[in-house]
Amino acid sequence: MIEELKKYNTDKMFCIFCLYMMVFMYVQHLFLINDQLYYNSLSDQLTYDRIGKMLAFQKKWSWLCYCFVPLTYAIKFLLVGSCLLVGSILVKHKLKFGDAFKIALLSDIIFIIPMLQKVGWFLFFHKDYNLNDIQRFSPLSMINFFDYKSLSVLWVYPLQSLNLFELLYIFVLGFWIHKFGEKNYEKGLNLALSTYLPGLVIWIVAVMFITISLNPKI
Amino acid sequence: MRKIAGVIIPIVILAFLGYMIHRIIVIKQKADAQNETKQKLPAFSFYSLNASKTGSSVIKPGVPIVIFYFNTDCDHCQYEAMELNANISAFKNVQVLMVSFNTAAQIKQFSKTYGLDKQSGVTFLVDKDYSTAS
Repeated sequence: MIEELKKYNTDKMFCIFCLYMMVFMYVQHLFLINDQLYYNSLSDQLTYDRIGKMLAFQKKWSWLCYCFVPLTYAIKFLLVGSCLLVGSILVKHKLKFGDAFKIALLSDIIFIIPMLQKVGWFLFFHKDYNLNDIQRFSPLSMINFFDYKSLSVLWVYPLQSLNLFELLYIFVLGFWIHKFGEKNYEKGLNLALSTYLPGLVIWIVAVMFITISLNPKI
Repeated sequence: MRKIAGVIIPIVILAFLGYMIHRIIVIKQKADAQNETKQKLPAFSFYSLNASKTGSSVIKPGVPIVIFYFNTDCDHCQYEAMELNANISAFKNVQVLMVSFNTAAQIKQFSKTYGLDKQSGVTFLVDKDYSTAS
């Protein structure tokens, strides 16, 4: 199975991954984020007519969200792959860029768990939810230790990013680096830690920087 | 080459990271200072209905304050005054300042019409100099 995955065409694998993500996004919109939710969540602030117009506009351009799925994942895998590649060059391990991209892709499958968890949670347990609940739902993350209301918007993304799945992702990256050429798992994990972790820190700081630059009053 | 890259890349990354963190701190400090200023009511200068000049001293310290800026001819303000009088018990621990740019005579008439002249917690002020109306 692992050998098959290693040899599988990267382009095809990326297309399948994106297709699954798009289907998942569609299902999520179908069951969780429907029109009724918007009416229930926004009726205090907007008239029904305004919500209706907003939803019509949203539906008209919804295809654009699906187009962004391959784009965002391509950027993500390129960035993670680049981190791994730079690290592997510095430690004299010859990792090909295609392999680095594939490692990032295969490891990202771990993030399907919180997505499924989110759907399951709101579909079966917390049925009386609103838009805020969906936006703020980040299981097993640091943000759950803080009070959302008193927290500055600046800290929401960094605290949401620090979660158990991100930690698991690093271990899985280490596993795949090992499978794609490193002698043992420990070396693979070291490479993942020394490359992905600084990359993640830069990414989080960059997001904070963009957030505060666009909205300095937060 | 690899050694040089091993030195240059971390330096560039750290410099970039340092710049972003510095900017975040500077912008956040500025925003916090602005928010702090917003928490304080700026000094003001109005007139009482007896035409004596009054300022921030009219505010009772430690008591929550509600300021209504109104116009005696405005329908919404008239409705608001009527509702305020009807629900005055909800404002028993609050100091209510009713400020208007109308004349003292018009304001007196307004307060009588809506029964607010008898309410001790409600103070009417005249913004004769149009210092807050815009």
